[in-house]
Amino acid sequence: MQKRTKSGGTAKTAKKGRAVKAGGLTLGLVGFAKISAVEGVTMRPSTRKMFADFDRRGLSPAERRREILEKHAKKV
Amino acid sequence: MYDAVSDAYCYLGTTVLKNRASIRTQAELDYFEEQATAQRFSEPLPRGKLDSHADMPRQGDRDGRGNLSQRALADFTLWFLQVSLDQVRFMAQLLALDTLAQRLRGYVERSATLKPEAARLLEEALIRGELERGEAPRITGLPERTARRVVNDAIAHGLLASETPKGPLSLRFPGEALDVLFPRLFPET
Repeated sequence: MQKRTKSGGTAKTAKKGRAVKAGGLTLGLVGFAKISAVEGVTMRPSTRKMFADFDRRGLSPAERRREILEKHAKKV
Repeated sequence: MYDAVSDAYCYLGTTVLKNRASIRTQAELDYFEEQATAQRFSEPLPRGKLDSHADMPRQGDRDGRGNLSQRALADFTLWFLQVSLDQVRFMAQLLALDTLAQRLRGYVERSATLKPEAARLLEEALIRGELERGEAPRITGLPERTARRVVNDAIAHGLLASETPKGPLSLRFPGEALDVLFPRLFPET
């Protein structure tokens, strides 16, 4: 028999609740590719290469966003 | 233009996306959008106001089962339906289907090669979804051979088409007619 938690749920369901709390849902590049495919957009090889490079260098999300902006921004 | 809802991505009081990268061409925008969006997909979704339900302790024995909250489900369902309704209204306003028949008539009037009777065929196809080729004389009020020619002209303009050569006809929207038929969706450039 499963143990009841203070909040009234079983230990198993309480664990599920904590998992939801710990981190938001990440769709990821696979999700991006599938959603984009619906609109007929495919990810360019250069984009895949760029993300592989980001991973290799271990950049944080903020650093990745900055690199993308700098790459595309016009030097005015 | 980014017209769905007013948000922080647009310049204040406008529906124009902020051009942080000073992009000038569509190709540059597409490339930037692809990479920036792909990056965003690699990060966790931001927490929204409905996420607070996930952190709440159980709301008593009368609210759902275990950790599943009946009230939270109702809140989510209401939110989902409101967003859906907003999207339906937004698209309905862009498509303006209630006045499409008028615009079809206008398109036929402006055409140098379509007979005015073609408008009746298009309206019939709009209202009924499909019409048999043999109905063309009755709908247009023209003799059979002339009515057939009107049908063929509408097909040649890409306004009517069928799955098979003799199958029922239904409405189509050719690229060159989009700015006339759906002016809000495809503004004339």
